[in-house]
Amino acid sequence: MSLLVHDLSKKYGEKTVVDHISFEMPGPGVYALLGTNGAGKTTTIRMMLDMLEKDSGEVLWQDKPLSFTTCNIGYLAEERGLYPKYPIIDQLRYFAQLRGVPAGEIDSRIKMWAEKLQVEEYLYPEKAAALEAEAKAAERAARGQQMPEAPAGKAAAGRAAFGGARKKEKPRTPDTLSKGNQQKIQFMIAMISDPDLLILDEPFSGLDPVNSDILKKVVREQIDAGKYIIMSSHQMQAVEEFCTDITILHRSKAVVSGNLNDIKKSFGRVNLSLKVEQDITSYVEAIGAQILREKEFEYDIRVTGDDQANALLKALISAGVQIVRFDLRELSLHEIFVKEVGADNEE
Amino acid sequence: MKNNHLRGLREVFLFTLRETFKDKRYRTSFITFVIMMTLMPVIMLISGNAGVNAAETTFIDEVTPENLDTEQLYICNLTEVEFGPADLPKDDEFLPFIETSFRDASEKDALLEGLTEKDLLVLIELSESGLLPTYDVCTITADESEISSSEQHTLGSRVSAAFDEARLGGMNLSASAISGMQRGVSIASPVTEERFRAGDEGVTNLDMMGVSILYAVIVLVIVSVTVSFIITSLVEEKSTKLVDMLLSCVDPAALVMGKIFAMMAYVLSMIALGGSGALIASSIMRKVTGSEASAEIFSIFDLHMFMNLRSILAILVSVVLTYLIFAVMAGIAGSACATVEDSQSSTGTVMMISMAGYLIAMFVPSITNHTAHVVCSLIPMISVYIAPALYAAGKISLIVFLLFLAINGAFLVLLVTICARTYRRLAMNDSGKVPFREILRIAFPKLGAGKEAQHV
Repeated sequence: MSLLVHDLSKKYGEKTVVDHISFEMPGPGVYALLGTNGAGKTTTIRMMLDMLEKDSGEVLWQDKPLSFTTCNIGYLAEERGLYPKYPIIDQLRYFAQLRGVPAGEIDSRIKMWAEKLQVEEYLYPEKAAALEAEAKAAERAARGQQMPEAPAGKAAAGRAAFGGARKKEKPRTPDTLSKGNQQKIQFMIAMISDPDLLILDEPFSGLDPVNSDILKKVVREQIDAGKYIIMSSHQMQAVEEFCTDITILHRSKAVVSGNLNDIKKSFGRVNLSLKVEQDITSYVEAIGAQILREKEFEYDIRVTGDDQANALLKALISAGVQIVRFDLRELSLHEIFVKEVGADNEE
Repeated sequence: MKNNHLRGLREVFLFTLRETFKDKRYRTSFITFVIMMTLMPVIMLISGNAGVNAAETTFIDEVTPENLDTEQLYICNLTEVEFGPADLPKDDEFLPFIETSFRDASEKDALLEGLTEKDLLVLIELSESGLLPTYDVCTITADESEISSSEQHTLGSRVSAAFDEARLGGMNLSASAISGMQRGVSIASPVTEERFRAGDEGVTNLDMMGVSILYAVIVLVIVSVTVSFIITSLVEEKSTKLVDMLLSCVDPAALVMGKIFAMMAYVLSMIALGGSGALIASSIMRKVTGSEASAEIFSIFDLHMFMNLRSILAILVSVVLTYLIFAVMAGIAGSACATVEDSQSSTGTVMMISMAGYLIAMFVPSITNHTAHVVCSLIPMISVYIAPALYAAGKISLIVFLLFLAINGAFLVLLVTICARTYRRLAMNDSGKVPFREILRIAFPKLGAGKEAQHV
């Protein structure tokens, strides 16, 4: 299986918003589409999904034009949206049907994903009621209060038998959820059909660290399951954690594209982190390197490459400087991104 | 092979229909409409009877021979018809109690000047002020007279009847012939020889007006309920950004058509249930009341002359066609909108077009010119309000009706094409409302490059 994006272009009037973008995923993994706001990431994704007409180019999945009829696609859009007033569970069932999930499997899949993403209480009102009762009981226990006596009468006994529920709980609607939980529901929609190709547009934006970790765990599981994932994000650290290949878009053009390791290698190992027990400014200046940051004999130094770093190391050893840490690293994805697009990013 | 363009249509249809009925507003509208339609015969009976009773108690005094205020009745005949005391009925319940005097035309002015408060003058003259000359019977009292208008009417009508007897009685005609002469001549609706032999002598203009208005009102209800829903629904999906998620798993055409069909099911079931309820309630009320008055009040529901397979089929097909035309127009209008604010003006535009057709439909049935009927039946959008009722009433032929279907069918195909092309191109538009000329350019690129979504 493979995904090929070839020569995608899009213009609105005279303005070019995507300019001949090409990339390929020969096998499963994570491909990152990076770029500043307005660089053309979302437009590229929309053209890939055939939501927008292409001015040029093609997108092939297993040598056939990519569409929801040729590939089981899961898509988390950048701009989150759910029907605000319709019950969440109905919307999940609706999208599961649209994505071709067999009718008999829909509810079990929803339940499985609700557990995994910890949103059961929003889908199953009785679960929410039970959790609320548990919380109250725990609170009372913590305060050392006794449980109230069971109310008298048959009706009350009946209610008690059904967990104390007094009336049928109304199903929750998205407008009662926080933004983060709405996002998790949308992530469920993307995952409900167990897609072969997963397109995640800014999946971690707006999530707190706990929920972000939940989503990251799912992404890792999908990688392990051999899925194709395209991820667009501003959060370089999160992307770097998963992706093997990247394209950086800037002003509608691809400015960097390829395997992340190869790209990093091409920039060289230029980040030197050094911890010593004395001031080494004169040694650094002597070899022509640049001190980026210094705090209590801990230095971040920009070197030109391995040779300059080795020269500095030799000089320090010769001078008898006590070295606590010597760490020569490649540029991070964040640094590469800033280096490529940061200088003239005015969008 | 499964049509990919319609993949998801069934799911969109079922979801939209289910959620529409779950929505409190739409559920309330549905139930209210059905209840109102069902109760309409009862309301009409109550309001009809109440109106008659109120009129009787307020305006009509009971006139009896014992409480007559008139003491002297003068009859002044200004016509050439011979009419004298011998022509007055001897067994009348009022006239024998009043002093009656016939006077010559020459005494008219003197009579008018000399009327006392107990006098009533009945003046009979040939009036030529209208389209046709008619005999007018006019009752006149003195300014200070206390003779009620009910009493004037009662006595005047008796003199009038006696005058009619006198002018026609000498012709040796039967009572029904005299009655026919009194009612005059009416022109029957034109019919074909086949329909005449079948005993179908056409529908009067009054019946035609009734049916036409009823049909136009039904169409207007359908359009007004659905247009707003379709536009709002499409715009809501855009403004909530849900359209991104939807278009990743369903074709735009299936998405729009699914909504349109769901609303059609909603509104047609509402009208079918409401109509059935009204018919059942009206027949029950007729049986319960059984009076002539109630039959007259319920005559608006007396559609038996249109209750044949041909008319029912024609009206059903036309209702569906009309609904689809306006629903697809709403789809186009919804595609062009980016925000909820835009949708309000778009709904207004579609409703204006619909209202224009409705207003024209109010006037066309009153036109007796056959050519005008045919022409109005062939104009797209306007004809949908007119042609089905004209056909059901036999005012236009089957060929004209088929032409009406063909023209509007072609118009619908054109609208669907525009809708499919524009929705696909404008689904992502969030940069404001797209003008109509741009929609045309998008649908027909040869007209020029169209504006497209600016959202990136």
